[in-house]
Amino acid sequence: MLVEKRIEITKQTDHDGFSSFECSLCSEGFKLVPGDVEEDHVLQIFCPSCGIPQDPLEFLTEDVIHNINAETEQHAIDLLNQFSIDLDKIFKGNKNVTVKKGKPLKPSISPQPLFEQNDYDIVEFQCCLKKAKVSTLIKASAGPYCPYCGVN
Amino acid sequence: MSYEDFKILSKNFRKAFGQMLRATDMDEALRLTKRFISTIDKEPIIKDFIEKNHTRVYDFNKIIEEKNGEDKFDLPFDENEEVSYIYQLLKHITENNLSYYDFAFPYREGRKIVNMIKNFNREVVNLLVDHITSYLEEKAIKMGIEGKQNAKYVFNNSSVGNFLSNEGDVYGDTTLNQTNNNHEGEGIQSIAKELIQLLKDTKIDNAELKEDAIDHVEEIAKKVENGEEVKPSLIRRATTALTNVTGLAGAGTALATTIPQFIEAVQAIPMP
Repeated sequence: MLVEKRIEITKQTDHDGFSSFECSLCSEGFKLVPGDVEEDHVLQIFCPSCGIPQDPLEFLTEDVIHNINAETEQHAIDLLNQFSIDLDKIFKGNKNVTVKKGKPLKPSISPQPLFEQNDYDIVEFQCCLKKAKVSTLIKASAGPYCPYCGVN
Repeated sequence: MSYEDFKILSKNFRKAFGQMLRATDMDEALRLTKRFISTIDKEPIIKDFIEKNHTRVYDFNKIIEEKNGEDKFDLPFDENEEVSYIYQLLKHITENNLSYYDFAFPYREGRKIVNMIKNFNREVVNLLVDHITSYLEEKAIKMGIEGKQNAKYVFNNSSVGNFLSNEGDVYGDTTLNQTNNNHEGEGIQSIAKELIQLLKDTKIDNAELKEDAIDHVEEIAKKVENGEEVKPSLIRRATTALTNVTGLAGAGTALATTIPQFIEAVQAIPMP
């Protein structure tokens, strides 16, 4: 039986209400307002730097991915450790099967505190009237691409 | 070509590549690769760029046949050659209806086909896309149709003691969500008050560390309230103590999320 487990990773926005994103193609970081990204019609985001559209999940930042991996590993280890305990209970007193428990497993990574730095400059895209925060590098380019329609 | 037409051309080209990246099976990947090549071929400006970079003809029948099954494509060092090599490779793939298995196998990651397709497109096709988008930007400047600024820069005038916040959360498992907790007008004082209460209520194994953290936060809050200078040494002591407390408090707790807010606000206090 396949049981779905939902693990939530939370990260607060910065003081201006923006959250970090990172392009998996060009590795450039930028920030958007989570509410804008969650609007129903937003199926993809254009990277303000390289302009390539991708699924919003392709823009998760390294710290969030680290915590997703850590939480997932922790959950898997909890299940295995519990399974070991259950196995021990099931065969307790059984003459034919002996269960020898080892040390409980420990995760290789642990979740890190997630918080936003107050960096980057706010830009407002005239095409969609939406705001984003971009780095100096993107600012210095020919003009950032709008994350919502891809125009620069 | 008008300014608008040029922007549409650039956008359509980038979108065609974005679609390729989202392909989940090999038939779809080949169909989208054909569309991508068609976008290049039917657009004179891009096609002209490809022709300008044409250095020599590559025999991809031979290259793919002779290539070890585990070897990735040996891309040329020279930029012009790289453009021509990747374009000819994609032409060869689409004209001969090759399966991604036939040429992209070394780019696999785990068992998922989607990763093989994505990695090939990221490691190989993305290089061509990068050259073409750079060329389009340069072309726009030369044609004099650049300059109409779509992105306007907004000066960030938030300041400590009166910063407006619109806090939310990013949930990163399979969806992105936000919960808006509007704390408009919330200042360093209210964060400090909340933090002190959380520090007092939370069981922290290291009592001295907890005591130091509370003292530092109280001292900073008092100085801000009285309009006194907050010395950098005090900020450093508070930051160190609170960072250590974060490690003991555990990720995801109210304390662990309030501490970074306070640290950030404190570090933003203008120095005299």
